[in-house]
Amino acid sequence: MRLRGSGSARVMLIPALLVLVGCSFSTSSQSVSTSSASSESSSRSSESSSRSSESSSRSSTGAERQSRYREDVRSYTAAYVRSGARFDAFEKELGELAHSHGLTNWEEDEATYVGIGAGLGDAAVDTAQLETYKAGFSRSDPLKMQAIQRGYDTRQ
Amino acid sequence: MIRPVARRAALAALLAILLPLPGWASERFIDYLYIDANEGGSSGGHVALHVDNDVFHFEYRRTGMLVLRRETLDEFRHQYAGLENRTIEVSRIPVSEARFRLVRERFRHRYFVQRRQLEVLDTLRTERWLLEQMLQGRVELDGAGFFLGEGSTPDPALIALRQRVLDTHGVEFLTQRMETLRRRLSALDPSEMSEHPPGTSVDETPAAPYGFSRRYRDTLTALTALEVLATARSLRSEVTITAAANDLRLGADDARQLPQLSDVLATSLVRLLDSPRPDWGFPLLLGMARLAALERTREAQQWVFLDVFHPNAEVIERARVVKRPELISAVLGDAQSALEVARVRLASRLRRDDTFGEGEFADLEAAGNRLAEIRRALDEGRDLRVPHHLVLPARPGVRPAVLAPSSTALAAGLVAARQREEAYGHALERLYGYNIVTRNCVSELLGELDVALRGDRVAVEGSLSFVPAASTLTVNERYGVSQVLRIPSHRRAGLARLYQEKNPLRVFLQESNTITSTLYWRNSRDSIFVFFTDDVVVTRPVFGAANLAAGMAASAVGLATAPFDRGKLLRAGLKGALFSLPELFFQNIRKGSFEYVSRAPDVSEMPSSSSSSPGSPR
Repeated sequence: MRLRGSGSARVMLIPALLVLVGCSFSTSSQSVSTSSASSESSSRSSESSSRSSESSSRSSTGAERQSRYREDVRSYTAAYVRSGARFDAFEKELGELAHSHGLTNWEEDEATYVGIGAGLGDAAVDTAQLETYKAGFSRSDPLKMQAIQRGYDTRQ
Repeated sequence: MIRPVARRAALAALLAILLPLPGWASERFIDYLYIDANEGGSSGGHVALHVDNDVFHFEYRRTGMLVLRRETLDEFRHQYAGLENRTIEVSRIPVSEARFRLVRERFRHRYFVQRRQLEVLDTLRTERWLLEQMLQGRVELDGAGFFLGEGSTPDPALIALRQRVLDTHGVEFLTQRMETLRRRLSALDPSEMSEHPPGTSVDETPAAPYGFSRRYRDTLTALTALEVLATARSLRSEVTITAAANDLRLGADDARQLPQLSDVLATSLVRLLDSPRPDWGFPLLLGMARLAALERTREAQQWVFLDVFHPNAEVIERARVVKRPELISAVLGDAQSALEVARVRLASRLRRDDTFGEGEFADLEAAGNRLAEIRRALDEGRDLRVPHHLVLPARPGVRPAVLAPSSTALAAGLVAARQREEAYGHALERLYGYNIVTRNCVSELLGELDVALRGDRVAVEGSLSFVPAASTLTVNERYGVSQVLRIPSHRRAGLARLYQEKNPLRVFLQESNTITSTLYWRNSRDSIFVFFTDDVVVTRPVFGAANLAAGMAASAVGLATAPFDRGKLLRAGLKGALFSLPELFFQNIRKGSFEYVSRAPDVSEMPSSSSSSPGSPR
């Protein structure tokens, strides 16, 4: 595309073109949304926490949030199984993930265990491994083990 | 030798994957979204991809990185078409089921990998920040600010909880557990830091390290929680919110369910004390604060909630609150509906499995906060905090860094932590660094789409496809758009309704400017302007000239007021003048924005010129 007109017109158009190109700035840097009101988030840059503003918005419906949470737990579990990371580090990660979804007592939430089960399915653990993980994650709580199995079955 | 039938089937399958299907033959679609320009962060427009339930889009972060965001369509629409008042053009691309899944999984994977990497960076920053605090002899703990200090009147709810804990775990439980935590604090060593953060690539999914300072903070938080429980400290009144409103009065059903709600919450907290998870301290503090708020609810016979507004929440000053009855009415109506829905869901959860549904309770808490806030603004003449992005209440408090390692050890740990953070931050900036031409929101989105739909990235040198406004042409050329739809901006949707209901000339005159408009109200984020120019073309230069004059006049006044308002009016005036310039040449960028938009369905999809054309003229 040739730009006609005087050199001064072209010079004026270049800054205009640059303005037209721009992408959206992170809305998390413009808004103050974080998943918790701790001043840790506000004393650091409000855009720094990738956990905070991404998925905890209370503007989502309850069903949407639970679905997202379950899906995230699934992804994190699969990554944990594949990486062989320490269990306490994974529990800490689960805690922070749950926090970003507005949950603190994630051990009481069935969606956690369904998500874990789905993650184990994604990681393609075999039956023996599944039983071991089920007992470990649930601390042998029967209801939680059932939830894990349900999640695992959805990925088969 | 492959039989002819099998060969044809294989060829059909291959073609189904390689070639986009015509709209009438495809069951699946992905939508390429072009979001119209507005002043602010994306005056050049923005782009996104809607696939399944997700909308993916790349955003620029001030650290210089391009970050992939994922939202629901509803969230995205509310933010961009609603609050930011931008029209969204939807280019619908028919695809096969296989391609649909490929696109979805590719974007989800990319999102997940980058999110994990950013979490590692966050974690490294937190580790460093905590060490800085500890060197000053203090640590800020989430949840520690909910309760009064020692010596306060014991809270009845916490007295009861403490008794349940001792009955369940033994009379020495709290004492022994606190001692265990103190020993653990003493034993933590900053030199046994996490393993070196992993390398970075677009396919690696690293785990965030759980290092010394976060372990220290979690342990100290747990100790604080037990100290609060052991002494049954009283809840600070300023951490709660309520209002003398009928909506918040306890109904008969609420009053009947309240004891059960308190009971299941207390039960869950007793179980929490048995948890081996390393970070149970904050959930216990928050749970106790909620329990205490429920006790206050019982005493007052009206809902008392923990305040969940962010400390820096956007505020509408009281003088403006009374001038916008339609805004307040919308906010109030939404809050009342949300509260009612939340009440029903929580009650249903209690009946279903007699457990504490934290998600359902948090929804009730948020809805109650919104309603109480509006009622206080109306009835008590207060400023109104805008109820966007309500958060999990945290109320941090500062504690001395007890049983911490020596200053020498902390200082050494801090040096290492800074190095790790800086190195990892640079690595991510190299991986995801923004470039206005070669790596921006358009180029990355199209690049991912190219790989998913065509197998490889298409070279873009010399083309203008990196410009959001021009990218829809590229999308149509490459992928075969079958239909173009339009989601109008909040103001344009309102205008459409008004034109249908009222005299068009009157609507045009009333809604053309910010002074008499019933749809728009000025807010502090927008620049100074008088006339809207996004819905007019012929009069655009005239309106633009008036806007330019208004902007310059405001700037002149702003020069005088700058020492008093920190340059706020001056900036708004200068910005107003700047965004008026394109209007002189029949171009429009600015559209105004909104502080609040109801989340009730407000948008309509209007098919524009159909088939494969790249959209109706803007």
